Amino acid sequence: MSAMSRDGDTTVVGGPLLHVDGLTVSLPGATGRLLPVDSVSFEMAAGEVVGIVGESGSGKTLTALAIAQLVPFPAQVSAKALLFGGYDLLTAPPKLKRTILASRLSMIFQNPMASLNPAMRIGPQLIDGLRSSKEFRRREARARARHLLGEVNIARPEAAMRRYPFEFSGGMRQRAMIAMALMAEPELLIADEPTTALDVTVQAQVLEVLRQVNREHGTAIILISHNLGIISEICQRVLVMYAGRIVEDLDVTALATGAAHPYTKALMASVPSLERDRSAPLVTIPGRPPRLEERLPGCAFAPRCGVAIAQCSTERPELAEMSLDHRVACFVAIKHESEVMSRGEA
Amino acid sequence: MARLDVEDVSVQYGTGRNSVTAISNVDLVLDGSMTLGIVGESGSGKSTLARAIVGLLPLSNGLILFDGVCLPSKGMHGRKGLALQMVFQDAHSSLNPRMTVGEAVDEAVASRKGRMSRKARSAETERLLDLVALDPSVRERFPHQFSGGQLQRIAIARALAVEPQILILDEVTSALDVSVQATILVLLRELQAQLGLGYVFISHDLAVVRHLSDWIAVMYLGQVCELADADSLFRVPAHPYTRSLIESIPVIGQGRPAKERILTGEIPDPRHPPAGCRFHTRCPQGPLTQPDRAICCESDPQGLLKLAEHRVACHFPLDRPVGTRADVGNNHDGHFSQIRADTSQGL
Repeated sequence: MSAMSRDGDTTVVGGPLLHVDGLTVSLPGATGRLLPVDSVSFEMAAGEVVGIVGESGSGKTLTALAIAQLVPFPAQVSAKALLFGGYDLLTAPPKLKRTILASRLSMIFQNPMASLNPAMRIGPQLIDGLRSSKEFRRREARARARHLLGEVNIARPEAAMRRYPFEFSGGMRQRAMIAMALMAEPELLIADEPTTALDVTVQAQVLEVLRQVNREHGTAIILISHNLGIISEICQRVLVMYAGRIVEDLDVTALATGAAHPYTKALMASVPSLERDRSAPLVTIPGRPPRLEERLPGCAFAPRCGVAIAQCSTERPELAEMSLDHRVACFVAIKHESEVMSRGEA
Repeated sequence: MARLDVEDVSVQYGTGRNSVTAISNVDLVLDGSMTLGIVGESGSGKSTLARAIVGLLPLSNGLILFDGVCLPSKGMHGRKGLALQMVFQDAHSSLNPRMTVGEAVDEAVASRKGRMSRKARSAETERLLDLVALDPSVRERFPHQFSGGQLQRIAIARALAVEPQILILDEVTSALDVSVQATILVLLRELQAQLGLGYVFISHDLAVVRHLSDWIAVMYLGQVCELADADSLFRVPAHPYTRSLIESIPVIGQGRPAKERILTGEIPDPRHPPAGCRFHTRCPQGPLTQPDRAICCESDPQGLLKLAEHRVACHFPLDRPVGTRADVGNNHDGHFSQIRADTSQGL
């Protein structure tokens, strides 16, 4: 991966929409640099929907912010490679980078009220955002805004454009945010916990809109959530994060039965489900995630892991290919897999 | 065994033209060491109901009975009310930041009936912290030094300090990560088995409510629209709203629900609730799709009684639930005797 060009040539033709290699976010700490995101690597094809799941503090939001170059000072982003839509975001000149990010990448957050200007009508907010990044006539932009509001299932879009954010309900605001994010026809939409503050029935509406956007516009989506159910509904692939690292990268269809990392398994077993026997006790994960200051030499999950071996606490497992479309950072899982493989061959 | 009766309770906020009836005519029973789950979307009146039960809100109608004794409908419940304790979603804001955890629990122990020596109190604090699986050494620490899950344990210990018989748990796990949520749910089950507590467990998360509850009431716009034991509610939901709610939960490995299964619109403004059935503006089985069902817009189905144990407020309930009566033991008999049983109306 280190062969990726960084020699000032900012355009790379072809390849995936997003190529992230060794993405690290560091913060200054009293005893040295803290790494809330630590060597995250993954690729995304155009039009793909990828979910990032993890508990609070696992670095899922910071990973997304780092890709969008929105990480606030004093945090610093470094990577071996960070390519988006053929551009190298690490070496691109600031002005070009701004244009790329403003017109080709959009982001929506958990709290739409914090992203909308409360003193401005919905329509102008949508239009201004577009006109600041792309050449657009006001009338065309207006028509586009009206069209997109209709597309995200907001009733009577013309009237909705004249209303203020406070007149919208939570679900409508979030859908208006999705419409705003789509104004510039981005190739990648990053949605950070877009439905966490919403009720389940409204959540279902918003997820349906996201799925529709992906299907009709071919927009790639990174969906960040702590809820594996949501991820499995609309994503094709899921990245599981723990303590700033990706511990597993697998196909969503394999999630229910084929998860290999002990953390992914424990995470799924700890959520009450609608199918499982109600009287069966929930699985709990002992202990708590490591604090940022605690840099463990081995696997960050080892102290809480039920199947950890001696190697786990001394050596750090890297994300390794287990099978096609399935990467896992766990010695035990890889060992188990290779044993199964060799048994199959013999 | 403690028994809590909520009879025909309504709560109103404000007066005159600006008044909002947050919950209207709610009938519920919690009998002994069991869990009554309450689910609903935001604005359905779940938390209002919880606050009304513990006496934090005055009732505008109805009665709350504890062990058959009526609790005052206005103001705090006094000594008798100590048997009902509430735990809130945000444990951090319900603890005094300048009091150590030991002091906070100690203070709650001191409000028990009868005098207690300082030594006995201190021993009791230790026992309570141990009960919620916290090390006694945490007594000297302040709330900001704890994680969310630990704070929720402390809040539970404080609620248990006055030896309550019923705990009202209002979204206690909603702010927690799933793995921490699991530990709290496990703890709640242990405490129930150990102390014989009754729970009123309120949450917007159906899977969590299903996990913990024996009975579940589904609320919509201030009214209970379905009440059943946890298994039949999920096996044969009879109210269209319950079914939509269950179907909108994302399930791992199941893909998206069909688009037409997704409920449209949002919960209406409680100041101007729809006439007739409050759900008719969104109901997939109602007049929206079937024009001949005009009765939904005219007559309020509250009070329709289907089976004694499986209550549904709907003119056109879905598949007839099976075996509800057989599933339920005699100890639940007479639970819903106070329901106005005008079953013939509208059917």
